[in-house]
Amino acid sequence: MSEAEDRQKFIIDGKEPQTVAYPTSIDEVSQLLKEANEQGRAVSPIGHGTFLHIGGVPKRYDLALSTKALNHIVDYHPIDMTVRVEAGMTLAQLQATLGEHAQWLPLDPPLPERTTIGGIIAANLNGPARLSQGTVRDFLIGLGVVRSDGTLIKGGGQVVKNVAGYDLPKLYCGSFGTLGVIVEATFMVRPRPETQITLAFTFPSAEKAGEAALKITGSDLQPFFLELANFSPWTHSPDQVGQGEKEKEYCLFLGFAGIREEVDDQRARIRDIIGEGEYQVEELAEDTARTLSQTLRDFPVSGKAALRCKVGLLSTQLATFCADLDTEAQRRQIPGRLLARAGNGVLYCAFDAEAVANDQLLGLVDWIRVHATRNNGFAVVEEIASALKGRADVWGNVGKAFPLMRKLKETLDPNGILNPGRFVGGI
Amino acid sequence: MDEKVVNRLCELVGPDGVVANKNALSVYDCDGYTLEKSIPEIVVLPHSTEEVSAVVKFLNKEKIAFVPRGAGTGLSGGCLPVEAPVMIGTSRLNKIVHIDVLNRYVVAQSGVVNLWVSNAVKDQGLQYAPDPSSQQACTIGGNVAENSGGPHTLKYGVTTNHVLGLEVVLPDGEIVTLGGTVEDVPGYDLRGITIGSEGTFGIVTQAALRLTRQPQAYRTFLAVFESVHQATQTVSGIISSGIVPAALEMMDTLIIQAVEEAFHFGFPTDAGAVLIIEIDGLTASLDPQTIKIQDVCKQNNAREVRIARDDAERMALWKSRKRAFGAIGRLSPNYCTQDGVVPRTKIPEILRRIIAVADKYQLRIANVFHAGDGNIHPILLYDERDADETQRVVKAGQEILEACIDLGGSLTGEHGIGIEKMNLMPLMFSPEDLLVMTQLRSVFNPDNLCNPNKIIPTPGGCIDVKTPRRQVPL
Repeated sequence: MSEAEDRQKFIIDGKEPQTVAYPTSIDEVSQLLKEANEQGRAVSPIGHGTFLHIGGVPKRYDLALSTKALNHIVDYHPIDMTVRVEAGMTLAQLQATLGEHAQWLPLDPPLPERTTIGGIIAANLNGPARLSQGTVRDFLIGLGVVRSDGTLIKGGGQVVKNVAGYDLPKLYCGSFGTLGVIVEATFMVRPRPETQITLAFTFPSAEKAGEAALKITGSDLQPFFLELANFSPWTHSPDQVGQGEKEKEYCLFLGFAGIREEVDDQRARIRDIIGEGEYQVEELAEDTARTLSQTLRDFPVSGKAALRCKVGLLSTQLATFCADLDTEAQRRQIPGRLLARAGNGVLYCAFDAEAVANDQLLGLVDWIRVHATRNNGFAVVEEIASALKGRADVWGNVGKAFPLMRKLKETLDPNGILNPGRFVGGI
Repeated sequence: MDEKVVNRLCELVGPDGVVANKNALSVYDCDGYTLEKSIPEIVVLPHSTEEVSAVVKFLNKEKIAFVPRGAGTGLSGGCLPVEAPVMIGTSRLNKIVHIDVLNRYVVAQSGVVNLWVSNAVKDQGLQYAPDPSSQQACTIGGNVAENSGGPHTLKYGVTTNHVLGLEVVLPDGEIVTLGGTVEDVPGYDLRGITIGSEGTFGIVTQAALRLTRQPQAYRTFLAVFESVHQATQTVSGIISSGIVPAALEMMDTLIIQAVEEAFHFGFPTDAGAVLIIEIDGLTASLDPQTIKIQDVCKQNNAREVRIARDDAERMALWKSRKRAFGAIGRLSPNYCTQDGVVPRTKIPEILRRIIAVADKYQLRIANVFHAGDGNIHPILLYDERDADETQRVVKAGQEILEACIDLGGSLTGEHGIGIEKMNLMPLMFSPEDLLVMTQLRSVFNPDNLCNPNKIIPTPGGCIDVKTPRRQVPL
């Protein structure tokens, strides 16, 4: 690939880096950062560049530092259930190795063929299974990071239980490459579930679907995942959402996983737990279920969208929020696809609106943010035209903890060379 | 202490919130780590977050160092005042502020006792999962500071996996919220780095805690082996069969004998080792796992595998385990419990090394530990009237921790660094790693007024360890 093509590939908000580097060792990463730091060149740590749309417009952007050549497993001890891996390895590669021992890293973020370990940590990526498994901070037990001045530091360790020193790995989860370049990570892993089933429910409204979701999370069932959506991959394509007669219908997708006996037990009891009502339910055939789980997994980045938001709420607020958002989006003629991790209160929404005025789109962002923050929630704009990012204030207000965050950034990256401008409050 | 300071503190929290009397202060001279003692000059017991903030603002202005304290059950001297005249106790911040059953979280003040949380939501079928052995006394604030674990961390994780958000009074008196009640709050995970910071980043006044569904059913096994080796092979066998037990605990002969003498549970006193294995979850899942566990035990020549018949027997078994340390008093006038971690598969190796260390220093060492996590608790027996033996215990303890590091492990799995293991930190972390920790502390605690002289060794300022470590249960 030519250098120009490489630079094209890592464009962020229309800005092309001057240089692209693919270091093959931690020493090379150190050297690159040391030089950049001395010269004041801005560096964006990147894996394969799958999530570059998230974040503010970079203030400066000189070097795209891709870790994708750091893609080896350093150490894997199946019986210790720990794995130490270089940051540029894709999740799919890692899962393939773990799978040989019937284990997995229990994270299911979008596009595992392209998503790297470093990216998962830096962007705190996860998927539907977070309901039962948790997020990357729950599995990350050790971390190697190169600081902005080129120094390699390690946090945590190689063992599953460890309280020696400050819990550095947590700090890097969701830090969006602004505190250092993650080069290596140690995770605890888990046995892969023996078997899995998926049930698809269709309800006449968001409220009805929401009530059922709360019955499930309030029961003694242990759902593997539970997703609430205003579209059904079978009855209409996501592009036509909000335009058909079924516009008010909501789906719940419920997964059970584990050993055969516990899956069977839960399947047998689910109808009693939800009770009688106006809904349809079917258990999906294996290949349909696989396709669906990819759809749910990839939703935060799939299809075309003029606007994507991630909203954090309490689980009990989700259904009403979705119903109101549907109405609001309809009113603005910006059809939206909504998918929520129903047991976690996390909602992803994507709006497609080619011919809609910017003010309309920004008005919708406003509506979402006002309604989310009203109940101590938040809204992050994950994708919007670069020109609108400033006005959309992509991260929103992070409150009184911000001075600490800025101080932290200034401490770990005094020259401000790492992803300048792309994180909260313009960090 | 300067009278003006005392008067001002009395104004801020009311005279009933200040302890300045010598006798009353002696209660605060140590935590669960009893070998080093230091009495604070004054103890302040605020009634609210605002009072904590006012006190800290005042101390910050006067540049007077202070140390936060919960119930004082910590095991590494985390709340021992070292050049910090003022102690701020959280015992009056003892309210559960909010319970949200549907969203499965509670908001509790930091002085709330761990067990109160689970008790408050028990009837709703929920629990707060982290269950340190001191859970009847230890506080949420202390749990957050130490990132506490418990026997059930193997499956459920430790404190940091269950905290959604924190309200913290920073060392300058500012009140901030880190995290929240919803998940994935944008910004740096300052909640995550504050948990386990051992009270050096500020004073936690309130926490939003995630609640977990109570398991539908439990099954608890006692497996008896001729040798420690067979027991550790069984641990590996269970893990590689794909089961994640809720708990997986091991005791060796010395401990078994002491525990049996104390509690009369019916442990075979001639056994080389026993395992306590617990699985939980849906009732339907327990039978198939039981078969697997029994098979693995049999393959490793278990002499006997007992299953607790009912909840009473299960509780009796756990009581024996959780109070094993107390039972040690029967074996020896004094004892010192270490806390180290190795990768699970290195348990046989670390046990060999512990035996070698015991031989070298002519000591008796008993072993009880969280085998599933590789978290060892060797207990070194001694008599403090024998000065030479006491010194050998100190050296042996350090050598065991060095062996843990050598095998790829950690200095502490759940007790913390505090003042106890500060001087050993360089074994595990490079100067660069320690520098970053110092810098992180400065972000929160720039003048080092909040719990000074903890965790990170100051160059040239290492404490010379002469006395063995703690004698109290984990």
